[in-house]
Amino acid sequence: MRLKYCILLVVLILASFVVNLVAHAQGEQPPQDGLWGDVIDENGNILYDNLTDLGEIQVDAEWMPNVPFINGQATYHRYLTPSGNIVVMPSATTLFFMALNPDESGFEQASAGLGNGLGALETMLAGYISPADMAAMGYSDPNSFWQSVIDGQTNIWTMEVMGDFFRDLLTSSLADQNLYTMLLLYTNGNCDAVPGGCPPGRVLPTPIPPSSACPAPFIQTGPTQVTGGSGDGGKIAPPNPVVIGQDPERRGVDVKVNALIPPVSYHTFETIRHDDLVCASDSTGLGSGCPGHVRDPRWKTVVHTWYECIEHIQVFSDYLASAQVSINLTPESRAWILTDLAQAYPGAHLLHPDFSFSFAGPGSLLGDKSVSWTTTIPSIQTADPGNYTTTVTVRTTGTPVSAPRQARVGIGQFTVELVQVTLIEQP
Amino acid sequence: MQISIHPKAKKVLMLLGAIAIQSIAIFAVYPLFENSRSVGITDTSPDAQAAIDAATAFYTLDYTANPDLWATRICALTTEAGCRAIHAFFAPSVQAMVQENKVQTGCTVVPVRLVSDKSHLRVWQVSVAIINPWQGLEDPKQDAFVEVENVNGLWLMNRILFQQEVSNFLTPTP
Repeated sequence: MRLKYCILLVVLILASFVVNLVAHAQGEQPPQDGLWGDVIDENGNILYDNLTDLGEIQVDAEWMPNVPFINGQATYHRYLTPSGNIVVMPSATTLFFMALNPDESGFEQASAGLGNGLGALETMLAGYISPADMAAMGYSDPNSFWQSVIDGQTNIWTMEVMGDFFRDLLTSSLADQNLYTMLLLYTNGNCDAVPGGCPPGRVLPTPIPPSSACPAPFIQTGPTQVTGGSGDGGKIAPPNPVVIGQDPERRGVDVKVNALIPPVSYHTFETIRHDDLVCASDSTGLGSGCPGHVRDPRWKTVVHTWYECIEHIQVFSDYLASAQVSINLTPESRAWILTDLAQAYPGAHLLHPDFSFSFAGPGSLLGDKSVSWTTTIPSIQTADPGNYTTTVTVRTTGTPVSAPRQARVGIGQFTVELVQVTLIEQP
Repeated sequence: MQISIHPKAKKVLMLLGAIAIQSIAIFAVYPLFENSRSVGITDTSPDAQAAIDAATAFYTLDYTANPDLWATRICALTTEAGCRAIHAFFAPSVQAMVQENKVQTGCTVVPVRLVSDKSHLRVWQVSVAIINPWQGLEDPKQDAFVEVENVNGLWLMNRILFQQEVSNFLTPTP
């Protein structure tokens, strides 16, 4: 017993060399076949730091042996590689029965690994079934014997040595719970073949979603609104202003200006990938079943991938950087002064036709994140008669998602009167 | 202050303490077995009794119990290797089934026959009847083949043989 146990351990160690050899051989192949590149280094060491540990799983497996009332379960430790492949390390016991049932267990479907169960069976049963045993059963070629076992033509279960083997196998698998002797690699997306299927939610690296999956980010805002006081051109007083030269109080004109800068809304879309496990019929009859069709080989579980777009809206205030209020005598009024008025009042000319007032921000923040700015310019000393236009130029600071904006808005005209004297001949 | 106890009183106290601990242990463990009955038949051989006891422990299942307790109870009746096999191989399968089906049952185990005798290593066929079958269990009474080993004069279970292995015992030898 002790001898066989030692032999088994030696065999398992040898088997791990087989893995290394296989992996090494794979690694020497062109990049397309370099599946093992992110799994095993050039010395055959497993690159655990490269791998995402998906943990150990037990899954019902009809090809695993069972005891009364208890179905057989296969045990695997699985890892996700950076490229989305899944590396499966069956426990020693599971590996043996995988090799014994290569089709049913998915052993044959592994993208890389031992390739078939012959090597595994031969390796693990070395020391238990000798060439002499095979010869006694009529096999001169060991490969024929192992193939016959896999094909079910030779019933390995009836062999007396198997009791000792199973006792050692089950025991040794505990001696080191992480004693895994072979690696099987399943390429990205090969979920049906992966023992236990793809683990939900964390199987495959997130592919780049289709560009049409979600709208591109965009900005939304409104125009800057500029208004004046109650009168035309923003004038608030007096009702009928006259040029200051004719007003003993030199009252001038009061102008009020309001600006309302709307916020900037930034719309982005988060793409969320959903991998729903759904039932699909399995025409091969080898399906692993699915919810609602548990263990029904006519059904399998497939991953349905779809994308959900969740809109996120961030609202930024666009503050006032500066404002300029320009009050200018209209060209018509200028011409009238220089022609008509100059005829009546020789020497009449333009005294102060243009006014400009500058202001700094930032304005006042409103509840909806708009920015409001208001100012009153008192007693504008309008010396020239005529119509004045009021123009407001607003510049904003910009936001983290938008550039500074500028708005130039005319808010109308107000009139400054000239009191004219008319000479009337006496009769 | 020093307390001195008369040696005889000390022995009595230790005896009482041991009895108290045993009583507590019996009361703690008893509920686990109250649904299970090992059927001890008259003149049951020690090897058969070992197979019965181990199979009884194996099929006494409670999804509400600490999973480790199941293995611990069985390991008291198995060889060292058998205990390792219980932990490594059987426990995950059994726990998965027990949790999935919310199994809470004991069993009745009756020895059927000795099917293999290699002196220190024997296989007993026993009939196991599940007392509280869970949904989906088609046949609550099945035969199990229990391999027991004599370790230093004590019969202990190695393992319950796989169904696939027992064909040798089911097929009558010509």
